[in-house]
Amino acid sequence: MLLYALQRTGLAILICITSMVMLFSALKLIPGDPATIMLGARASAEMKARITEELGLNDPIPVQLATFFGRILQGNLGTDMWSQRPVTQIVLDNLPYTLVLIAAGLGWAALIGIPLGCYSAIRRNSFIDKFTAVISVGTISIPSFVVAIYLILFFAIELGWLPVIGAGERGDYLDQAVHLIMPAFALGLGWVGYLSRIVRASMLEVMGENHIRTARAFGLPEYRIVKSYALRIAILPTITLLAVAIGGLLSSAVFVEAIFARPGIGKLIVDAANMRNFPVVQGGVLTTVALFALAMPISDILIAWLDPRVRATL
Amino acid sequence: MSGNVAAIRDLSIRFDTQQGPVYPLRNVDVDVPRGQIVGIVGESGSGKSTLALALMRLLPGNAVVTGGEVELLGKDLLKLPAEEMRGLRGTRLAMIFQDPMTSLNPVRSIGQQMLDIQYRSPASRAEKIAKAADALKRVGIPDAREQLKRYPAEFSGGMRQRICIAMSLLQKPELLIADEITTALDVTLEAQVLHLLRELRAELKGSILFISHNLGAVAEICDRVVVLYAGEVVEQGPVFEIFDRPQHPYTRALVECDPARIETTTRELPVIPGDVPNLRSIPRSCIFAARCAEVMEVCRRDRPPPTVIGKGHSARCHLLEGVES
Ligand SMILES: Nc1ncnc2c1ncn2[C@@H]1O[C@H](COP(=O)(O)OP(=O)(O)O)[C@@H](O)[C@H]1O
Ligand SMILES: [Mg+2]
Repeated sequence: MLLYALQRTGLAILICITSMVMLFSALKLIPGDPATIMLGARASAEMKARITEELGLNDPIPVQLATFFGRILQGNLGTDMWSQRPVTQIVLDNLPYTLVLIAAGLGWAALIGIPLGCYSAIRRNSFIDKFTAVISVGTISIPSFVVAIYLILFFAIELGWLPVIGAGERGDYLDQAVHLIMPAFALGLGWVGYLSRIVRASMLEVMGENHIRTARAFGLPEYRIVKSYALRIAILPTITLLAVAIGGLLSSAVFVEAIFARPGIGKLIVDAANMRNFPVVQGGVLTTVALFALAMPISDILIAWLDPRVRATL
Repeated sequence: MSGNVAAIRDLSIRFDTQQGPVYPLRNVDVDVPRGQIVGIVGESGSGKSTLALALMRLLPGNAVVTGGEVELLGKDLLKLPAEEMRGLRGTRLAMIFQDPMTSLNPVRSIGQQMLDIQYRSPASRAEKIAKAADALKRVGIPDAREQLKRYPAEFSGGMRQRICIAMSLLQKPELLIADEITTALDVTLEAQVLHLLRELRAELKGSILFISHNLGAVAEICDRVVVLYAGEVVEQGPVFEIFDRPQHPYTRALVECDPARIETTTRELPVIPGDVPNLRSIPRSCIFAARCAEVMEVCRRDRPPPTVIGKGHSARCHLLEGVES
């Protein structure tokens, strides 16, 4: 089990390293002088020279790559070119907002979607099953930024019930929660339908398996069979799905944060890219990749922990 | 109430499939007298498991009972409300399924599952665990308390089958349905399990419906034998009658094949030339006519009714008509 955990984590680290190299090369591949691109064509020669020096752009490529890795390993993502603050600090300031947003979006989606899928499987072809099937197709195909815009139009502008901008007062948890409602709703909506369909499908499969018949043959109550015998198995594919979903959620979060003017990694990257603030873009992207890469081993380990069949093969 | 824990009368079942209907059981009559072991023999696909599942009322969703009546433990099985049916399962009625590899829940430990099925018992958790460990010991699983913590994937097929048997023993059922339970076991274990079944009957005055491919095992422990062929009961009677004086050509082909082989080595039924009939379109003739060595004109025209040959012994064969006693 421990070995397995180490293997999975090792793989995640490998993914991070690969993406770091790709990120590094991407910046090298942008045609033209990096300093000019960052500063614009009208920057003075000495400013360009200073930036070039600061970013170590005169060193040979392998040296640059080595310095790049060395710095990152020390947790140093570079310095913001405008504010001169360390990028690591900026990223860490913004990261919690994104994590809370994703957790809230995915959380409500799971809280509604999983029971809904379960119910749809057990009461197949019931009104709720058919209703969710139709609604799911709709919600899955609407991008979260569209949802966000309509939410704002209706709840913020028309009704004036919910705040539109920002993440709420620092330290005022209630205010922050109120600010979280619309973004989390927009982010999670598509996932409600998606999760309910996935859970329904795997639930239907599991309910047809022989061990369910055994449980019934011993007269176990149906709710117990569903909860302890079927759902425990049917939930497993969902865990893998959620890990993969983190990638999609991170990119949806970019839009949602931008629309609601919420601080967060997504908004950070977008703003920095607009200002050609490459160290910040790099730091933001790297953090995102690391989050994504970490989600996979976490879900693998979780599944191995929850599924004795997987554990037995380790 | 009659002396039967189960009395099946004229039971017919249909499966609806995408390729059309299948008729796995037709006009089946079977009695399971209290305290007896009734063997069901028949080739693979003859409807043995379907019959067992019908008694448990656990038939797959595409099954339809098209006719007949079943009296089970004094109740009208086919009309019993679902909750009352559930009340019988795991208390007065238990079943051990054919495929041990998939019959246990993969994500719950053996102990959890054995505790789960005792949910009706007022005993303490410790008592229930002790009872579970005891049941495992009875089916020859060493180190029972440790095994309770393990999961099905950690056991071999034979071990899992023994666990399933142990689970059904927790219940002390009045009727135990055992569907090919010795198939996954080696000869010594098989002997042990057969011994257990006999004990169960002696101790608990329970009845057992013993479904098997193994004629040796059937001859050894059963009181009565029912021979199923392609969804029809072709012959049934007391075990010695079936083995010593088989009347139906199919039964004769089975038991007279080679007595030595049947009693010891064979674990499968002997092979009889010809094809098993297609259960999609049932001929109006005798169901065995196409493979029967003694087939007559009338056999291809009419389906023979059951003919009573002796006490509790009957067979569906035109050859027997007129010899009625
Ligand atoms: N759910 C089902 N749908 C359609 N056909 C089925 C189904 N279950 C079993 N059958 C068919 O019914 C016949 C009897 O099966 P079964 O009772 O399992 O036989 P046995 O236990 O004697 O091997 C077989 O031909 C089998 O293919
Ligand atoms: Mg079978």
